[in-house]
Amino acid sequence: MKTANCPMEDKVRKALAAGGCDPALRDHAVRCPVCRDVMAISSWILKFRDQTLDAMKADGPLSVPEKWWDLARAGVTIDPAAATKALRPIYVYRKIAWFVSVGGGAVLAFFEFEKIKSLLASIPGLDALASMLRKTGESGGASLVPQVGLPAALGLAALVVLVLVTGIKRADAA
Amino acid sequence: MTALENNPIQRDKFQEFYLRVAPPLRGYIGRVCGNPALADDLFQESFLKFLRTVRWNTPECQQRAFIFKIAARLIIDHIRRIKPASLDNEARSEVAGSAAVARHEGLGSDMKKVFALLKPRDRSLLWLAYVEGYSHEEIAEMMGLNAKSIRVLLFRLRRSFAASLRGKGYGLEEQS
Repeated sequence: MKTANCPMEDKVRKALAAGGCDPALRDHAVRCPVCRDVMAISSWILKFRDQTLDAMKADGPLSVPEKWWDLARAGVTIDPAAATKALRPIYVYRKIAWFVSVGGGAVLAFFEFEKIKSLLASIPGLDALASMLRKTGESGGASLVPQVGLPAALGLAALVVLVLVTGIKRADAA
Repeated sequence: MTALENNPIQRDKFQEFYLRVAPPLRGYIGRVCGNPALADDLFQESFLKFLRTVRWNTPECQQRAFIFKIAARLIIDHIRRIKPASLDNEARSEVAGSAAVARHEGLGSDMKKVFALLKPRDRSLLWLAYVEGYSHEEIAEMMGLNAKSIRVLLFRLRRSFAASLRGKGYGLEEQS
């Protein structure tokens, strides 16, 4: 696209925005069609600017500069070291909770192994699945179907459960 | 020397800078956004960002350009995230029915309507170029575009804006 520009355009705009052109620049602007348009548009927009600023002044005064200064200082004066120190108890208790859960789980599994075993055995289909896996292990993977099909079926089932659970959560959120 | 130490000299310097720059910046953001509540938020965010990143040893004209750049970028980011103000539609419907009015009397409302017809990016360009008087290169730096694009965009805007003003009865010839 061909554009009509003048090398003095920037100077004219800058001068008008600052309050007015010097005589030489004004002389050029009157003769140059580009700068004449620039001068005219500037004139209307600057009047609009004045009206805008008056209206905004009437709508409400500006906040005092101290407000922004104090807010900005409050934002940057948070010392990362102090924040880490303040949060340390939370991290410590989180770690303790993790170790207690893992340790408790291990102790429970050790002392109540038989009960857990019988509980798992009572779940329908789980003993069949366990025996199938055991057989696969013993046969050394002679057939491709149990070797690939079984883990794939388990994975697919897990995926379906995951999709269902997340779908229910999304529906709850909506 | 970066922001922001507890330095009374910097604090005084900022107070003076704020008194000079805040009104035009508020005008710029307000006119480009078209939404007073959003404009207030962006105005506040601009000053906070400015205070956190400004270099106090730079000249005031650079600091002024810097805060306008922050505001321009915030407006652009906002436009990317959310659609421009609904004010546009309201103003467009008004434009269709409005006739040319006596000069000066309806300048504010007519200019608002002409501005509302522009994209926020174009409003920003016009304001930075004609109200703040920034050069193509300075605007390019603020808006994250190249100077050639700004030259072309401003040329098109100058033509369309002049036509809109003429259409509303604001003669351009008599202004010079």
